[in-house]
Amino acid sequence: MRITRRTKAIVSFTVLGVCLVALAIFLNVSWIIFHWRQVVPLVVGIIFFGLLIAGLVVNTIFLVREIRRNEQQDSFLNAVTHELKTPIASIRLYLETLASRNLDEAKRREFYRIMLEDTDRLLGTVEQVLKAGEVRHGSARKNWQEVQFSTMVREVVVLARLRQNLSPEVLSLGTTPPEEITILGSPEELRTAVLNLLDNAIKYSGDKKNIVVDLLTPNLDTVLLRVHDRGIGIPRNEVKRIFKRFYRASNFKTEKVKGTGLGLFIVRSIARRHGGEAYAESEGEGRGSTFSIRLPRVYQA
Amino acid sequence: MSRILIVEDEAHLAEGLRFNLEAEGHTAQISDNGEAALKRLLKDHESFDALVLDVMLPGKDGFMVARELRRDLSPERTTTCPSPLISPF
Repeated sequence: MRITRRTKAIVSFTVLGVCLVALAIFLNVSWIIFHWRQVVPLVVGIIFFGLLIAGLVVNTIFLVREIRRNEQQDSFLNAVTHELKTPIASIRLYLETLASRNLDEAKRREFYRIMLEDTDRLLGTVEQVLKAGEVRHGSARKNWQEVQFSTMVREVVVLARLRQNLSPEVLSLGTTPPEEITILGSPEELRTAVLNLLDNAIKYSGDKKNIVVDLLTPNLDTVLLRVHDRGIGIPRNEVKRIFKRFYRASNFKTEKVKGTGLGLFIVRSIARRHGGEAYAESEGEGRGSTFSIRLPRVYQA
Repeated sequence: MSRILIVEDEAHLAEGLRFNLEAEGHTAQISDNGEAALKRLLKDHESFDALVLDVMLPGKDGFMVARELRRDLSPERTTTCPSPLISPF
């Protein structure tokens, strides 16, 4: 409901903008016709109308952009609220059950495990929101050190497998350079970026989980981490936008995947803070996607 | 003792609800999305005494599921099948 109202607002503001620009152009043309012999009013008029038209166009573009951003913020708030409240509701339910019923030891242990998983999920969401604020405002180059990136990638792959209970065939390490690759940066942030990409690949793979992680060195001073999945893919016109804060691809299936729209924003911010870039490629919906982070490589003295 | 269908996509919540309902002596089954629940009720003609329906479901949300059930389920079955909507929201 809200979305259709917003779409209507976007359409009406665009139409209004176009009408006003047309009116301004019409007035401008009439001005030129009436004053074509007088140089000063002609030039002043053209400049004035030109500014007016430019102002109208800029105004309309900003308005539409603002409406869109508002919409994304709303859906972000909904997602975060859901992501915060669901684990709390679950923990509460199990605590109430534990408090009000006589349970055997095995059942109690199972409930403790479930509650622990819920607290992990809660912590994950909170950390992601905090991280998104930090990478946006915090100062870069704090706590930077030499990071052995190949080792880190290997560790993160193992960690992701453990966390999601995946076999090495499902989440595999493809090409890696024989030598250790060193980059300069914050180990914590780089780990977050790699883990976010892997989590995303797993999350959006559905039942066809087959993820390959490649670490490449396209030239002497660049390292490229590539995470390829065969999941739901990204609609072509959204490949660039998915790195924006709160943005989530419009694939119908994404509705089934819980998320805040912050993961990739964090990945890109971290890559940029380290002098690199993050980008995505996809053949289209249902055809999987490849996410890459490019980072500058350094050599140990 | 009643037969209850829990429509909830969050596995932990669904299992917790089922455990409690079963502890009260009911039988409870779980569908993790609205379409699956609609299929069980409308196509497979499974009958339940009550429905516990989550609002925030993937695909069709709880309100849509409830609306379709009111529309397509025969009147005598609708009146005997109350469905509370739940949401952590």
